[in-house]
Amino acid sequence: MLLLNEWRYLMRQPLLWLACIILPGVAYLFAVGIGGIDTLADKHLQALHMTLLMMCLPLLSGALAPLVFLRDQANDMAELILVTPQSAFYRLFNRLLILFLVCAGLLLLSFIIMWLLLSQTYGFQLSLLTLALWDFALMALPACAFFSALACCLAQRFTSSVVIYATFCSAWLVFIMLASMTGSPMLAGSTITSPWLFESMRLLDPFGNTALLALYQNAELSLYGDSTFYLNRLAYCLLAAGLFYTSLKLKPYTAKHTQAPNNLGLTAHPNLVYQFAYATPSITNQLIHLTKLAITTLLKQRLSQLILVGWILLMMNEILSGINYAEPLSVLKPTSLDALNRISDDVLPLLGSFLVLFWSWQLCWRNRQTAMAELISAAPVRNQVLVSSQIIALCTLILLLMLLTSFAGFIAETIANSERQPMQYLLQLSKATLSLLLLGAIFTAFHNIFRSPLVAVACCVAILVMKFTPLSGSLGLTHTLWNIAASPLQPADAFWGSEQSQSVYWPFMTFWLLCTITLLCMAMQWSHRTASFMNHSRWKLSISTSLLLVLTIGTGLHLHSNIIAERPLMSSDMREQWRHDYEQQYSSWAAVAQPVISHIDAKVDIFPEHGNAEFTLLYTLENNTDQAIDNLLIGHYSASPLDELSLSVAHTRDYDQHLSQYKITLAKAIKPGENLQLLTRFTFKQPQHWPAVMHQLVKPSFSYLRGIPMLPTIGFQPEYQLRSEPLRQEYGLAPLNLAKPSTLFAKPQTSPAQYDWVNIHSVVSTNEQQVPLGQGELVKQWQQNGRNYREYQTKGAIRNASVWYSVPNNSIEAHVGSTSLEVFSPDNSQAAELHMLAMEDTLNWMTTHIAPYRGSKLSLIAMPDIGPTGYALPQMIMINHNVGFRAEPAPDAGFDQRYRRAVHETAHQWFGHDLGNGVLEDSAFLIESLAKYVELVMIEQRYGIDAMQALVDYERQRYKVAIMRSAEKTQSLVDATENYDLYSRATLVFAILRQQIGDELISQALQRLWQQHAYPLTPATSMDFVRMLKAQLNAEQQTLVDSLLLGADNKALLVQ
Amino acid sequence: MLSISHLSLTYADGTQALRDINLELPQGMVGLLGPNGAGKSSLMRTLACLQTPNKGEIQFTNIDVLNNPMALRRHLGYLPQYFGVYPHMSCYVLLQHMAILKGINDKAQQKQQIEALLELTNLSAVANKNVATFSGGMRQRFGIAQALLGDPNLLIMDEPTAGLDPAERERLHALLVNISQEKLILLSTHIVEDIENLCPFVALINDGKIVESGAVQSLLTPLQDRVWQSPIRPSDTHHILSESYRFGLPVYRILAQQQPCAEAVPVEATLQDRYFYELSQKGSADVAA
Repeated sequence: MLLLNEWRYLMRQPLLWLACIILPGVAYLFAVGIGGIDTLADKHLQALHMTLLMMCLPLLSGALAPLVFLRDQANDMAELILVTPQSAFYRLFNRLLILFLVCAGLLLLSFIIMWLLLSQTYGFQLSLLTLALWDFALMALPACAFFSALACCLAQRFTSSVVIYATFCSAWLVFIMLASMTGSPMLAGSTITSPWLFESMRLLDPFGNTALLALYQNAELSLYGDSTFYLNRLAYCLLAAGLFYTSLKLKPYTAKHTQAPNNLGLTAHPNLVYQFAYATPSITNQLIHLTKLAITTLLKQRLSQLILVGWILLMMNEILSGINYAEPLSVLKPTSLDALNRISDDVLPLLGSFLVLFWSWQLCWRNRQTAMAELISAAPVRNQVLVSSQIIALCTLILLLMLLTSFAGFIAETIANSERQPMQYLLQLSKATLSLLLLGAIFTAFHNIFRSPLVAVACCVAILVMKFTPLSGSLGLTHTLWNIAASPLQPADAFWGSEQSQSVYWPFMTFWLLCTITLLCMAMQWSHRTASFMNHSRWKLSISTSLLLVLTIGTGLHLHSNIIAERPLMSSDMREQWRHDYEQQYSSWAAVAQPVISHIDAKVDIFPEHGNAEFTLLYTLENNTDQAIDNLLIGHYSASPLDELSLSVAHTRDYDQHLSQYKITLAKAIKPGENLQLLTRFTFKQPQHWPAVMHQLVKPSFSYLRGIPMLPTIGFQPEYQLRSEPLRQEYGLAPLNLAKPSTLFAKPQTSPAQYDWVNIHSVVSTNEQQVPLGQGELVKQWQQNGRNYREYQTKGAIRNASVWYSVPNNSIEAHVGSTSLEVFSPDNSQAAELHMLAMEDTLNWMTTHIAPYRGSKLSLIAMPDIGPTGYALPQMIMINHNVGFRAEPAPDAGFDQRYRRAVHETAHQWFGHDLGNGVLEDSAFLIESLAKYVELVMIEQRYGIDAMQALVDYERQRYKVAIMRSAEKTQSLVDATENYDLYSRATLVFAILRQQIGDELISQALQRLWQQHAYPLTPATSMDFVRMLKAQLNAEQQTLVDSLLLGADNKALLVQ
Repeated sequence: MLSISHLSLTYADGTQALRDINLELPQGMVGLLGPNGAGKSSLMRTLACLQTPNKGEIQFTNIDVLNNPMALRRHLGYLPQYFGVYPHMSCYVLLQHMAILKGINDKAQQKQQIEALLELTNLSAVANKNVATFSGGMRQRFGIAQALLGDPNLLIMDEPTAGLDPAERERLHALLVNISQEKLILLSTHIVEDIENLCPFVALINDGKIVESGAVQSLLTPLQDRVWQSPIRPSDTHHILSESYRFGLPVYRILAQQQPCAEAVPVEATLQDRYFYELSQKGSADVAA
């Protein structure tokens, strides 16, 4: 009966109905939004359940708990309720039960929604429903019981909703952090940082997720738990019972104060008369006093003190846990930049924002919470003063937070023996501070405008959800302005500081500053003066605020138009739509004979200080077909329209601006074997409202301009087609029906593909402080008009992947035979020598055992932290400065990651840029997996078998974690597309092949591959390699090759 | 001194709290009398500029209150019906806080007035105690003290005597009478006796409307020589103004031109008789209570 009463109460609470909408909504978004899992429906479903439980249950139970347990105190009903003839046990048990049932009911509803959505994708499967119910019974119910009992316990002890909110929010964050440290597949970028932690979490995880994840490591997929899982669930059920028992025994905490005596027997002074005091409200006095009171009241709270001490410890722990981390088995000699990078882009803004929300809520609703609102509101204090005092108090607290962060950073740096750079603190933390200040001001504006705290907090939370969760992406809101009160500023690195994205900071922050000021003006005008009473003049704007609003909207539109202009296809949706339109419009050109580019004569003038590069390109187009060509399709990069396009023959043209394509009709067709010249000019402008990204950037310290996709293209480009079948279906495109490479190329000579190689001649120029780089042999260099010029010419044709650089002129050189090797890095460190050594070793071995290097020059360039740790183009290699030049092997590292990476990228000069190109349908096995093979060989050759074994062990560990996190069905290595297959699994496979077959047979197979498929012969496929290899092996060895390269069984690889 | 015209207020849920209120209130003490839910607190909050009406005008001396609420707040002392206090703040410090907000910037003056008010409200002995620990009556006295800070010309007091013991109630009455010479003290209560004792002017409010307003005597004049008191319930119940008890025995006050029953004796009309008369006229259910 009492339970029914509890339900009658709860169903009248708006928060419950909000939860009834939000939780199923989140379940829906997770089910449709968490993609990349397309084969194992059951694993996908369980991963979704885990995600929902972890992300939502602590927040759900924490939000509802005060409604259930603290309603009597909150609404002054306690005395009425306590005198009713119900035992404390009965009353508390019913409240616990209703919270448990509501949480469980909402989770069941969400699980069902997820099941229904997955059933739409995978079809109805009873096993999925069974799994959903099993997950609900054994994962959700014990977790609901635990969180309900925890809430009950906290409510009984502290009788404070703030304590419950703070505890559950903290618990939520801790669980997410722990999940990211235990390789949770639901969190992007999470890895198992400590096997000990992982094992502990198998027992301690309140959701049972880790225990289930551990089972994913097994080759035989098991979703229904093991003894550890059941032990974990039983433990949490018992813990829930224990917490409930404890809560019955707990006495509420009471502050140490005594009731003031009533009259103390004092006699009144009947003759005393009232004396008035002259009052002239002083804005300054009021402001100082209100601010001071707000700050001191907040800082006097035990909870605030706890939070601030916890903040210092958290920041210190976060910095210390990875201050010298470069990558696995590799450490840095840390500086303040590394220390701050540990916190300034995730922990600090995320937790800082939540803290700012909490503080703003406390500051703005304190008068209402203490029922002082009417007294304050009736006082002659202007709205502006009230709002300003809240803002100043909040700003002071944020500054205090930053001060504590600096303190924590300095302590952590001292412990870690890091190089302290006070300026970095000022630069990094001031940016984080401004963002938090703006966010705090926006929250304060909401709290003042909305009369309901629930609505105000909901708006604030919505901002945080948009900022910090993938929800905005799931909703297709990919515009950078959805990151409210922030800019797309990227972490600074030691190579170029904040140069990557410094230009974006002020345009965005100016806009947010204006937005915030406008909102504050509105808040000052519309404020409910903390009393939440009706104000009929709300929604009316003064002229100054209206002007400010217009200015803000104007600035926003201007910013938006700049963002769009600099990157027209800024979101994946837009890019997909472009690809769809391109295919629809131009796929017919695939059948139209087109000339090929045989020669590129490029003049590239790079202006690093201005952020642009001017291109003049002269293409020689050859008709290699057997028919005359009178129509050309010439495409260009949508962000860099052509300033000039001319042909050496008479023609007419038709331009499609939307898809950036020129349709050229030649006055006179070019016959087979004939050629013509195409001249184009365009300017690449470095976007100022986007961070610099691969593969085109021009910045003062480093410029990198890859030709693909910036240079004009000839004919239909099949690589622009949408290749994902679900996407093709979504856009109404016919399926490509691409078979797996092992099937498609099961027989030799089935590929009609051709190499796309060109001769490149470049004249590159840059400012006099830097050196211009291009592919090919350096023909000439000179200075003119205060600029450095260099002329390059490739020895022969190279893969059509042109690139030009402007880098600081600091390099070391060496020669291997006739090949000149050069390493460009900011300083001539020992690392540069090591990279040179790796290039020499690889060049020597590959030339001796496989095929000679085609070029006369190979350059390795240190690049800033803008994406991959290594990247290779024909005759050019880029290595991330952080991991390649600053890092050193960790004390426990069995091999040197720098050497390994340099070998890998050098190997791509053969695997990728010599063979392994020209067949679009092939997988990356021939490129990446064989480069991994070369790593094994070179590390063993240079450092011995133990170092090679250390690499194998490292890759095995990586592979184990990756397959545990993945819900993809294992494919054969030749067909694999996942990175963990192409890299880690390939290492394990080639380690076995080297052991069982030997390098000689593998080398011979590769030699034959080169003999039969090197340019200008038919391009090779992965299956060609398999055939070459098998051709030299006995039956038993062939079976081994089949199982390792063409089989999907990976059990043998996981065994030490 | 305070002029209200055509004041109407409707809450977001559709409740019409004030309906076309028109009032002219003179200097001195004014009682606002009405049953629960009549609109007293809504009117008081509106006068204190805590909420804005849908329409109407309020003029206090020369101040257009709705267009210039800050000007009114400078002359306002306000005691709401319910209020709380900040935790961990002593009575003195909290009064100091309110004094600064009200614009008493001179520290010596501030100290002097706070100490005087603490004496007047009999809180001097607990000046340094945490207000959150005060009993209901003490907290009410704190509320009165804060309302009197500065030099308010308009004092709006919603149920000021709630929770006060008889002695404190009398002290408050004395204080209010003393300070009401050049001020307007608007007193809202449903304790009719308080208004009768203190206020020369009264306004009766019911269902969001002012049903009657004027000098107390002028309100009583229509009832003079028509009010009877009887221990026996008369047969004609339509004329019963109130039914109360004295020493456990019923006392009926009856409005009639002629003696309603043999036991009835003529008595002086009181404000309470007028109050009940107005409620009965409107058919309010509260009459029976």
